[in-house]
Amino acid sequence: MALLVNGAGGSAADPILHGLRAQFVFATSSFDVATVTNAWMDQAPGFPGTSSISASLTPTAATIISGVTGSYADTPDQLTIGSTTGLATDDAIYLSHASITDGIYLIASVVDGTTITLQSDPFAGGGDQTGISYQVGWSFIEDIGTAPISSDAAGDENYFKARVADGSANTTDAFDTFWARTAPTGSAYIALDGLTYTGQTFSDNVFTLSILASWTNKGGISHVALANHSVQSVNNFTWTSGGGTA
Amino acid sequence: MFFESINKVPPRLRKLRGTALSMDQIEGILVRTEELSEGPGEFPNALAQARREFMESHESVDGAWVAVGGS
Repeated sequence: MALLVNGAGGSAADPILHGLRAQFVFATSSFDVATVTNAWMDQAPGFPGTSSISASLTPTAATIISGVTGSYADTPDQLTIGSTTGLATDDAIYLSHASITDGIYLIASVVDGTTITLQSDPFAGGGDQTGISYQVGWSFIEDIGTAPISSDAAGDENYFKARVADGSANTTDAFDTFWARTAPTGSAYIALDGLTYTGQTFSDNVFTLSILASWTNKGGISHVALANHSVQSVNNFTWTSGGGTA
Repeated sequence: MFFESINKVPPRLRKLRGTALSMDQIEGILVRTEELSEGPGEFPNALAQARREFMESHESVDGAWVAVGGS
């Protein structure tokens, strides 16, 4: 069994800020999960885990939907699977088909008892399809820093773990980790024209707003450039991501 | 027929216990899976049963599954 556990992707150098809402997903590419044995969110490696989140999964751990005969109607962009009972918008589903990149996709809407639509629909525009393999995945959605997810000023490592079994009781474990950091505060992290971000009055048409300036990689943000203010009544700005130079 | 060619079979369904399955063998397991599925949530259990039945009648020889007693 191939179990995929998709953490939020953060590392020690690129943590997720406390307060942001995140969706953690586990699913399989083998379409043979018969039982979700358990899932955990811990601050240490190893199985079994200690802080179970299996009762907080969406869909529920008891929702088992998979098959190899899914079909797609390019008009009106709907995917038909064996059942949609227990599914809702934003639930995850692993899809495999020669016309798409196999992977986890999110449900945009549940149309009826057998039909869904997809967010960032990979099939859209490619014509009708048959023989689509699918298995619904399971998500844990929570604010970063809210128990059992732990955060601290330096960044705390969290382990998202899943244990599933196939119809022959073969158990598979998998985990992923991410780092959660309490959001930095103060002018060292958010600066206007190099000064503290509150209590200042600026007269500057090349105004500089620097976010996370003292963080090693600036939290993935390169810089925020405000538009020239000399002739505009509305001060639009451009947010450029990617970290690096300010 | 579930898949037009082996290239359209999800990679995880092309092998059983690490040994490659032929296209006919894959189709045979999936046909049996569909026969055993009593509801939309039964696919994984039916797949496991179909695989068990297949392994009772086949053995892994030199990187391929061959029927027990076959050459």
